[in-house]
Amino acid sequence: MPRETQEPISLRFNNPPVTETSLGFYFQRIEGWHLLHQGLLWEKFRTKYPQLEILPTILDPGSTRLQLDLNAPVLRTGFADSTKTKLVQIQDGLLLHNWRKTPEAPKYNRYEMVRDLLLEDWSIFCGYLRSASLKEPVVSRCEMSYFNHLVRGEEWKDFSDLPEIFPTWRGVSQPKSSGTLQMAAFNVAYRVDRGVVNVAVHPGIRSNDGKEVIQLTLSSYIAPSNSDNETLFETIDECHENAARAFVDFTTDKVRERWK
Amino acid sequence: MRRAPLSTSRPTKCEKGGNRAMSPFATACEPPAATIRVQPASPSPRSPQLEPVVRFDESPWLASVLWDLRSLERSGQNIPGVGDLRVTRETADHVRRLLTILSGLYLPEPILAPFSGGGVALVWNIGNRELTFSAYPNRNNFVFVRTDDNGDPVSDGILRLDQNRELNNEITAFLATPAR
Repeated sequence: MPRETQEPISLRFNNPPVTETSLGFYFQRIEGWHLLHQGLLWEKFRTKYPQLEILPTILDPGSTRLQLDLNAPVLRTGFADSTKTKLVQIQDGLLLHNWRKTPEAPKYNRYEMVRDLLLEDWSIFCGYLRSASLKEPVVSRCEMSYFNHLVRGEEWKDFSDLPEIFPTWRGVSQPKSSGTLQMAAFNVAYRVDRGVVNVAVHPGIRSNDGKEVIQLTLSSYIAPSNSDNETLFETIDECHENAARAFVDFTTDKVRERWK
Repeated sequence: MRRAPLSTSRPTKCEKGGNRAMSPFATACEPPAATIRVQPASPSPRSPQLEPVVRFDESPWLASVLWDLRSLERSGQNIPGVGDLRVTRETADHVRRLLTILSGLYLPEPILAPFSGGGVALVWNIGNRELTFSAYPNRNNFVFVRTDDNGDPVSDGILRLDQNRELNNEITAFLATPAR
């Protein structure tokens, strides 16, 4: 169904499985940007995000290779708040805002709140570019991701429960000769009106507490028509809408009932 | 025959309080409270950055070991014919946290060896060399023993999961080819 004819989706859960969200922009590398700018930029963020992390550089999935220029090395930094529930990732070419749920701060930050935080971060970043006489970023992609954790012992007991959670997973017939299902994972990518939605289901161990989880990642990206703020944030809204629809499409009514 | 994990171990220098009076050049047992740190976060932006998860396919043996650990939680059995050696969810979670650190390394598949009292050991073998990490109920650390190619213990102690340097040292020593 074309997007224009669809009603905006509204999901309300008291206990949603989301543990982390990430949203933001990929943009063309900024002419004149170098590592010192990243340090100076931190000063602008430091009051809100006093912790600095050096993160592995990431390659923009839109480009084919990372060009190493020793005169202008690329570094990804994370500016985290004191509770480590909010993180701003900045690299020459991307700015993402991450939020996560913790046992100390279990209240779910709804999309509107996280979006507002991204708006603040983006304003600080663009303000810095202006003050440093650098060009405004040309955004190539807006992206929103939800990371959901389905914990063993809560949403599932073993992998034979997967069809109860994911309607797309109908299980596999289990003749005795093929043994018992030990692990299952799947990835789906599909195009929507504008952009792409990725759905990934991967079991794993949560590092912080050793819990076995099935991580359901819903990610949506769209190339914006231009880089003005209004367009960028409308496009992010659309990414959010796509991810929310994917959440409904890829989970069963039964499991969603648990989270209400 | 597999040795039982050591129940008493010599405390490490760190646990004794070690090198706490720090000169700027001192080797600290615990890293100083620094603002800047390099962490092996996921290189993909489409991975959680704040709440990391180690995927089951991180190593070829992880899914299988987790399966055995699940069996121990449920029935206390991972070896047919061996009695009930059930481990609690908390102990299993503790072992899984260790696996999140070790599964990304080039280690062979470990053996899961439960022992009476609700403990469980992870045992790696390369030839006659052996590295064992034992988890005990209600303990937030691991007893480790490393043996040489003759099966003689060369290192043992107690490690917590945040002692990355010491953990790395033991793994590196275990994987190193012995001098001839």
